Amino acid sequence: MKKGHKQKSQSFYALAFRRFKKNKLALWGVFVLLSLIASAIFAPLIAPYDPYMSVRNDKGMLDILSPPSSAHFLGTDSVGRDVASRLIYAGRVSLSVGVVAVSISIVIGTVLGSLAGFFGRWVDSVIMRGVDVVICFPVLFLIITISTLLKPSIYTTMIVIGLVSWTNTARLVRGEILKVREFEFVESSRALGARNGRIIFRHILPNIMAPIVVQATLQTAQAILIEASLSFLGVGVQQPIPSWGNMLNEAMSLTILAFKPMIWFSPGIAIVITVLSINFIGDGLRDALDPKLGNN
Amino acid sequence: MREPVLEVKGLETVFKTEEGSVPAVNGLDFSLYEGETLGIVGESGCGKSVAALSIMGLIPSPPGRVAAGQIMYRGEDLLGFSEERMRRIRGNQISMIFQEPMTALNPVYTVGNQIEETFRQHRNMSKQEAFQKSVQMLELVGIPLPEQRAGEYPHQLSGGMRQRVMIAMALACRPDVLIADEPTTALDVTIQAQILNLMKDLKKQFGTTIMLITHDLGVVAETAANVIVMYAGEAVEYAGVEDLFNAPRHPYTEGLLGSIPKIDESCEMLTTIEGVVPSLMDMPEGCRFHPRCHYKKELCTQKAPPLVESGASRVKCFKYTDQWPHRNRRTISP
Amino acid sequence: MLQIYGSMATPEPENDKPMTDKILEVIDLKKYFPIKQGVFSRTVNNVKAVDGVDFSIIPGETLGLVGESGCGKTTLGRTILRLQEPTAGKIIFENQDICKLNNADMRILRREMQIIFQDPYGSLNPRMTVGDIIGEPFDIHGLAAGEKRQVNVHELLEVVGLKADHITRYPHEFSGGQRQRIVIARGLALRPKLIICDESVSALDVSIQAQILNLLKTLQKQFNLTYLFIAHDLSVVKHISDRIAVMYLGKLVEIARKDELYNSPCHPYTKALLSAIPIPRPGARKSDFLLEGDVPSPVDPPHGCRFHTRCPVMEDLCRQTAPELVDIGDRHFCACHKQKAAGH
Repeated sequence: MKKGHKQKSQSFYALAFRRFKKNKLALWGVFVLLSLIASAIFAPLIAPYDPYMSVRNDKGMLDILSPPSSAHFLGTDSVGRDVASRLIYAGRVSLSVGVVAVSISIVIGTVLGSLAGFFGRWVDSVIMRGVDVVICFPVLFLIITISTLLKPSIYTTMIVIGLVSWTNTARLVRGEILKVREFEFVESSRALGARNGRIIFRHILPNIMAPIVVQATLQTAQAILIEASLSFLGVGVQQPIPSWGNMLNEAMSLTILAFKPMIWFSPGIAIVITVLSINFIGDGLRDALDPKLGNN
Repeated sequence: MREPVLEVKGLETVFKTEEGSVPAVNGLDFSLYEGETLGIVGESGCGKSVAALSIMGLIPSPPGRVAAGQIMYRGEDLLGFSEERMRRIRGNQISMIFQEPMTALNPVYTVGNQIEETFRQHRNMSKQEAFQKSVQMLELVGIPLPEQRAGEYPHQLSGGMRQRVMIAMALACRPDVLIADEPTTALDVTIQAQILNLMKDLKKQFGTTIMLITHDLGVVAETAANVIVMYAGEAVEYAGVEDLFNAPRHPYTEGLLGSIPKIDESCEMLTTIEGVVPSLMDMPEGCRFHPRCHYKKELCTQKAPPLVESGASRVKCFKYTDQWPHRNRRTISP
Repeated sequence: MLQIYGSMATPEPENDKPMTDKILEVIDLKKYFPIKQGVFSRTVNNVKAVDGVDFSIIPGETLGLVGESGCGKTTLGRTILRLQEPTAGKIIFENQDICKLNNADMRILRREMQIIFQDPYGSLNPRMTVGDIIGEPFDIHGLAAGEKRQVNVHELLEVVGLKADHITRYPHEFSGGQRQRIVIARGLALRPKLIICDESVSALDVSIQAQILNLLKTLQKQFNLTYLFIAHDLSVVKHISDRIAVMYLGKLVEIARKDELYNSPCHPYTKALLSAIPIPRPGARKSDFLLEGDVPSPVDPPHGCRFHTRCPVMEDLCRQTAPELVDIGDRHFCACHKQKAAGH
């Protein structure tokens, strides 16, 4: 019998962290994602070349589509820029688009979902019908239309993705609030004379944070994928700014697709790895934060 | 001596958790004789439901596992049976009713359907015949307008009616043994009284052997002939119902009886058992009850007490062994 | 023993107890929940959870309220605290009708009355420490902060039998009984006069239930508390209460001192409840007075006496008119036509 193993008090998050640490896959996800973030932040230090500059070889010629070599270990692209450097800088774009877009969608979703869940009645009806309308649109069409109208850029991409992906969060938050609102501790605070603000911020929100965090994580992966698709189609992040999506764009050329695999293969792999690691983290968080679900 | 219908020997069921394996039932022995009603009482977490599920072969595995012991049903060890063979036993020779009849019934089938299932599964009846039988069963358990009720869904019935349906299903194939796990806990008292009466009547009619699991000593006093008291995964007392209530042997039983407010008596304060049930992860050494026991001697903290006979009862307590210090003085003093 | 009288809507002068002696008086209280249907959410019917209830409680006494599930006892408790707004009727707490209070005044009055719920798992916020849970009442009303709050919380922990070092722990680290102690400590924080216990011990194991019942009794003496003790278990209610009110389908059918109620129950429903209780003594069951059938739906309660569909002594009169709750002597109130006839 371990003496005193119960002495240390354990908050919900401390317990969740302990559970999370046991999930190998999620830990790998964290490791990979942290490396990606670090390389994005320190891109200027890591990248061997300027991602915007075409490289010239000894003969003073543009070094176009050169194969991997000791100088360019992923080769160069069709205008002679170093693929490895562009890949690292593209990470900045993709990750920041993911984070900003999800922040926008989580804020909108949480605020609207909370209003709907807490106040109910007509507020609820109006907001949830709004959600239904947004969900009805085919997302990709909507995004393409808006971003073309707004002039495609990295900021438009962030905003547009944020604006179309809050609906799931709103539904989730509303549902969670309806659930938590029924708990007796909420009613008990009301019986003590607590005001609405206190009930929302002290009692309800802390109890719905966990699913929101999970949702945010999984949605980041989603946002990165959408960004890649948009940029691939040419309506997202615009050249010469590198993003994994618009680097893939080069694969539209049959020659490159067939003979220069490193040019499209590397951004493809980068997307897969990022999305996978984020998803692993998300699943790990979900299992850790909701002990009732899938624990063992 | 009669052969027992069901004999449980040294049953141990463990559950794997994050913090190691936990013995939910730790060495349970008992025999169930034909036509007997055996009550198993104890507080939540004492292992009474796990014991029942172990007998039914319904322990979710993983994380659970019957680690040791034998469950002899008419001379054969159920633990050695294949899943297919167990399936034929369940609901046919040994059946079970649960506490919450709403979750134990499938909401997408009519109650008639669900009883028919039992017949079709175990008796190979035609649809027509099974329906007839189902209606008969519903009538038997006192459901008015059985033919109409058979076509209704569980949510259309009240709690008491649902429990009647559960009993009808459980008794459909005239099982030898009926295990009732807290059958009346979710019901109101007036409905509880109806269900207990129904169970008594049916028992008289069919001679079913019943193992009744409950936390309610009142229910036990009214229905059971013999009682096992469980505490923290162990059986601490085996006694006839009269003995148990008139002369409780184990300090836990004694405390439990003092803890219940009795409708026909008045007292200012209830006698209580101090402290809380120990966590299965963190069992005290020696007798598991010693931290809460006011008879506790040093002996109790060192080793687990043996199961000893005391009168007609058997009890797991040092008080009734030769090792108990000053035994004679206790009996002499007023 | 505590005082064991108190009267109905019409107080009798013979005790020389003035009106002020009642801490709580409930007059013809009704709480309906509308059932809405259709595109325009038209109210098609009402669930009459509480349908005209009168009673009063005097300071320091415990009034037990028993009834089966769905009889409206929980709704009654919540409506008295205005956690749900009453549909009609008066709730007079210390001489003021609390239904007329605005939100600000109601907030202040909430210090005087508390509720302890059934579920010790649901009634504590899992994200707060025990210290914050017990200290929250002080925060809400700005009554104590810093050092003083800390001292108060420690005192409360001690009062309910918990340790000072429990203060930094989280609810999930406690057992059901300990959690209910935390809930009680929090309820006591503002020194309320009236505590409504809504099935406060029903979810606990018997040995723990006895501890909490004893604690509630001790605290009552220590702080001169008044309890409205709501439960379905008549044995528990009888143990803790001075008087008992029996509720059936939204109405009170009988109120009496507990011994009176037990020894000479008047209403057939009370009799049935009493005989349905399993007694933990083999062979102790009294004459069988078993009820047939189930409780009818509160959406469409039976006409006349609500109990007539299950009543073994029902007559034609019962089907037509609802009996009034009348004093049959010695402050024993009963709502039954048969009894009235016998009394006259």
